Amino acid sequence: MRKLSWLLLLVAVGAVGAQPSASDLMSRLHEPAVLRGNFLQSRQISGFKRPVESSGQFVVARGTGLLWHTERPFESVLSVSRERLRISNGAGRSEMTLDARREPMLRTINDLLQSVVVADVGALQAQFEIDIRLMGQTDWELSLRPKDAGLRDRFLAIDLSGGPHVETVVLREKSGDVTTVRFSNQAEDSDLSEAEAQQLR
Amino acid sequence: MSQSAQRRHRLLALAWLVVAVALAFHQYRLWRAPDFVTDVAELLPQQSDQVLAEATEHLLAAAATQWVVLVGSTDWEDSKQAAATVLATIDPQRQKLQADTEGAALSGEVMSRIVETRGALITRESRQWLQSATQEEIAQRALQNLIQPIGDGLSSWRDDPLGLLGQWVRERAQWSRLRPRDGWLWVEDGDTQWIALPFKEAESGFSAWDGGVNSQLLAAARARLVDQNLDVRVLAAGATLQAEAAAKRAKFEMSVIGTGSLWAVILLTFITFGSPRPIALVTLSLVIGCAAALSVTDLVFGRVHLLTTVFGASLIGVAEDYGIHYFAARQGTPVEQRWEQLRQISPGLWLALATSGIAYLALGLAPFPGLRQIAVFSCVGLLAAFLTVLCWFPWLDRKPLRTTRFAAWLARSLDRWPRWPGGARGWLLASLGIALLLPGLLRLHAVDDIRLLQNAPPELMAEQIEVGRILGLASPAQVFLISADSQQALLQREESLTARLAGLVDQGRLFGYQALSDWTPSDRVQRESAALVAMANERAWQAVAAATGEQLEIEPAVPRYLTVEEFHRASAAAATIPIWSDSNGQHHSLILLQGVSRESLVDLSRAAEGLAGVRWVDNTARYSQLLQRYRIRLSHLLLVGILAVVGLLHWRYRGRAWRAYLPTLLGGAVTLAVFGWMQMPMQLFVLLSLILLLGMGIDYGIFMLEHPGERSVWLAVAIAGVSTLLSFGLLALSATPALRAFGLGMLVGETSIWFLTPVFRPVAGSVHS
Repeated sequence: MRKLSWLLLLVAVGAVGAQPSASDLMSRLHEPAVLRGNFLQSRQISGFKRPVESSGQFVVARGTGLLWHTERPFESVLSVSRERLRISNGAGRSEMTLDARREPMLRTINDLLQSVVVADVGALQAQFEIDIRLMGQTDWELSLRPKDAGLRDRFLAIDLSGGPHVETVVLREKSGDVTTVRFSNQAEDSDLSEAEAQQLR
Repeated sequence: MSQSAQRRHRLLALAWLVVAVALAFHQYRLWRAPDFVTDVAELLPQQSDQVLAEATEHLLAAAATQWVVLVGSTDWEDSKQAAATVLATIDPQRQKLQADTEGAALSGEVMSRIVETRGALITRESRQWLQSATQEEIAQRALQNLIQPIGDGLSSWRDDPLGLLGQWVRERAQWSRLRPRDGWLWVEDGDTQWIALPFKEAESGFSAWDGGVNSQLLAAARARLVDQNLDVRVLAAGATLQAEAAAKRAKFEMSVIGTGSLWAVILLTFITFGSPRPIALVTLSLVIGCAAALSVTDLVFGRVHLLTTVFGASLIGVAEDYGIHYFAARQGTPVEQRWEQLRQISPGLWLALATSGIAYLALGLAPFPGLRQIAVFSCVGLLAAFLTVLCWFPWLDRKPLRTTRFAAWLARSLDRWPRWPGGARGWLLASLGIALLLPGLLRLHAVDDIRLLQNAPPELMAEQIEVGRILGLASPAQVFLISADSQQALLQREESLTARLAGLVDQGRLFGYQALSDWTPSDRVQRESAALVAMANERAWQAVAAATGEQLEIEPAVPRYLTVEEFHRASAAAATIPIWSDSNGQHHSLILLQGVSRESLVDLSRAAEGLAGVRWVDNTARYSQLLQRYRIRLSHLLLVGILAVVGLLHWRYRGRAWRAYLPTLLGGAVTLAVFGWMQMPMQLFVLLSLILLLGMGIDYGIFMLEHPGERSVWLAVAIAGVSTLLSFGLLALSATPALRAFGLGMLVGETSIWFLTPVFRPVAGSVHS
């Protein structure tokens, strides 16, 4: 009897001390095929007194890619797919492209960006040490620290928080620059529009 | 026999016993830890050009101890599981795996150092863009970079508003196609997700003789994957595996040729002499001959090449001649006459030994260390076998030897052997022969390809090629060699060449190149780049300040140029780019090429034109030219040899000399015609077989002229000839194309000469009349 109570106590202590698991978090998150929404990005760059702010719309399609359409202060579209990464300006002129055939890491970058925007813990576990905190019935916070040396050279940490969807992302670069993104008006969908699919081709 | 002669014989026998004991001791030490050379490159001629020799050494040094296994599946999870299985089988302690260094060329310490270069390191493309970019273009790019959610994370926007460092780092990453993924080194090819497991052996002077440890581990890993029922492909490549395969093959061939020849000799000896004593004694002479050959070669050259032992195994078929001659003379004569008989045949044997020895030594005239080994090996082997007969046989052979029915039959066969018909029938036969030979000779074509020496199994070569393609490895076959007085001059010379190579890459003539100056440009280029970047950054800051209304107060950082030494200390990529300085204080480096095609060779050789200190080195072409040069040189030597032999025979035999040399010359012609008819290329090693044929074939003619119509001599010639051609015929089974061609040449030539020599025999007794 005495033994049993000890055991119960141990189990109870274990439950208190245990990390919330990835599945606890996943149960709070929605996993739509396509997620659209608005973003407000604020970059704190060394040498700047005020943060550099930009805003626009984003689309993330699981397994396909990410569109980051900045509308203010000026037009710019970042599209990341499995095949290429492209930045084009308001006039649609390509400012920069990266081809997966030349740079195979693009696949990893694409997966990483998608996983961060939708907080796909299962995928992120491969590359980050993850610290999960659950708050109330719906909210959560995540801290990601890169395991891989290549990523550690660039990023100190990525902090995420939200409820059914990711609401804020804070990216701390090793250089000291900090980027904070707030998402709003998220809407779930099952498919990309024709125009979006075109941009991610 | 006189008393003094008896004493002399006893002394000789004892002296030879001392030699034999010494040999046994040396053999014991040699075989306790066999250490044979397996590398084909060691057979190649030493470079007369010191710098080129050093270049080759640097090129091969890194590759010598490395090998790689690729595990691939269309399903990444399967790939990972299979890679884990392979790793657990081959290297459970992870002592050989070098995973950390290969994936990222720049990380950790060197990366933070590179950030401090502040504009000194930019790509060729960036330089061109900076030189022509307008204010607006610069502003546009700086603003774009300012608002992107992801940067390269390397340096703050403030320090690199145009993202030039990220571009340089990305371009450098092209150094390797491998990328880290889930803790593995990953490369994609089509749909297949490959995982690379690069291994490194601790010691470079490994002995591949003992079983080929890595090949066995690899086979075990493949077997385990089959057990796990995973749908994966496994590819392996590397000098280590090639050496193990070559050793395994050479070992197999050596034992096949060796035991094959030995059994042939034993069988022939048994049928001919019908007694165990000749078998035991002939085998003894062979054992001592081979042991002496191996020991002396080891002492002279330091290490014995495996191909020497393969070739050497065929020596059994030649070295048995002396014992056979002794017993052929002994057969059916009283025991007491054995000393006398040995004395009678020994001048002829000495002569035969000399001609064979000279022929073998002529092989050593070609500057191939491998051929020199074979020459020494063969000469020593023959001499030792002969001395065993001379010093020991009469002591050990004390009983009468009867004439067997087979021996009598074979000896009598000389009488029935066809003779060359005179008159019209002779002319008809001659024209028929010419009609057969000439078309073959006309179809003969020469090939001088270094790959003829390669004896790795084709499936291993195919895997090697596929691995090279998937990983985009630079080939050691063609490189640029750069030389200069100082390191800075060296880098500048590289830069003038890479400017041209970059053009070839843009035109799609070349996939890429690896040059030291791309990682650490010359100070001049780093200074120019830093100045260009400093100017552009200033304009970018101003433009962004104007657009955002910020008061940017940025102090431009002072660039710290990256040095060759820092790069070498910190990056894994450095190990793959050879750079060295010689004893004269000259600095050298190699530029390695990826994706060289046959079509691009001309463009590449032109790229070096007009550039001081830049040499185009096409190793394949160079070795092939060398083989060609020696093929031509040795064909001249063969002609001189033929003239010398013909002259010598005329001096001794006058009008009958042609009977001795014509069979050998005809045998050579038949050999060449057969190669022509079979569309097999004429190459250096066929020529070497002709030289050896000249030395050994003439022997038969000499014996037949010296002892016309003497049946015991014919018996010895017949038996010796058959065993010789059997041994060399077994060499034709070798997997090394060069040895195969040599064996075939010997087989065809020996058979023809053996058959033709008695055809041109003199009528018995005519010499003495």
